[in-house]
Amino acid sequence: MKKSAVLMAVTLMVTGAIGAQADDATYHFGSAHQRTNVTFESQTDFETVLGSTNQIAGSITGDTERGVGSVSIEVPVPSLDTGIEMRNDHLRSPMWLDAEKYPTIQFKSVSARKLSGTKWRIRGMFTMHGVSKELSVDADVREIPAAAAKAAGLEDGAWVRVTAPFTVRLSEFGVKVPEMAAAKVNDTWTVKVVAFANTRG
Amino acid sequence: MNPSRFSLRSRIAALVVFAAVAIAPSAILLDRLFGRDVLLISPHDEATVELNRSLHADGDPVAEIYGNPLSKPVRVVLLTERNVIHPAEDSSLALLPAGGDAPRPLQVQTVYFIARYAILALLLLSLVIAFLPIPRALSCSAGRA
Repeated sequence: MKKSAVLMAVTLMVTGAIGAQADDATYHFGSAHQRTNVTFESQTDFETVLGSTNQIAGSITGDTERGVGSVSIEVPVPSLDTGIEMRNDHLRSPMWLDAEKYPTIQFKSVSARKLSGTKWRIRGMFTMHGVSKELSVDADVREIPAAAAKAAGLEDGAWVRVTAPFTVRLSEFGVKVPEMAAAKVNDTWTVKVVAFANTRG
Repeated sequence: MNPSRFSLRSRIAALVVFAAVAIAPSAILLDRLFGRDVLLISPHDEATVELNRSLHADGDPVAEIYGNPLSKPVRVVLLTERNVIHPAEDSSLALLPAGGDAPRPLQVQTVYFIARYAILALLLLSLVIAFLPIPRALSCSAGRA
């Protein structure tokens, strides 16, 4: 009798936990390239470079009620555009990001918790140029009301907009600014991800 | 050295030095007369701007409705005014789309960067013109021509 009561209690707890997991919604990036804007800012002696890409893949899963979630993002290196083709070639070359050997830049969360309102703190591993480093990002995750999504011509499904600014030091990822350009290129990139994701993928 | 040849070389070298010296004030003039501080943005498409506007809340950065901005304004020259966005939400802002289909503006720091190296190159050239010995055969053939 006692054993069956314990078993029932455990069963109820497990069922409850599964129920809570089922509340998590998964949103997929990549279905709205024209709305994706991933930029990186680089200070150089020559000019301030504002590079960008609209290519992104991955997903974000979260439960806004419980304030927990996870995120995984991938950006293809060959899609990074600095506005000058020769500079793009340099950026993709083995001297810099080596797009052939390391074709993507990735971020995979370890933990994500809601701070307040639409603000989340996401900790995870950022991988670039074959090197992974822990990174903490304060992101804004905003649910898009169905009417606004429809008015903007977004496809069916629930949508969120994710805005995540952060900085990376190239040297920490094994990207050595070439000697010739040492006076011209800053080691730090300011990155900003603005991407839309929906439940239908 | 032939005096007339010396004189010609000196004149050319002086001219090159003058050109080098003139570059700095020209760059400064270009900056002062045609320079303007703008916030460069990687622009969103129109539908996204509308969507961002509907999601905008008090305290959110206005520039981000229109695109991903640089962290601080940059000074650009030879700007076409019609390309500048003055947001209705904050008309004091001057946003300039750059990247994608938008043209890349000429930044003042680029002007000074090029000016610095142009001055250096011209001064070196003037030294070469003034002091590099011209082989006799070359100078004779030049004289015959």
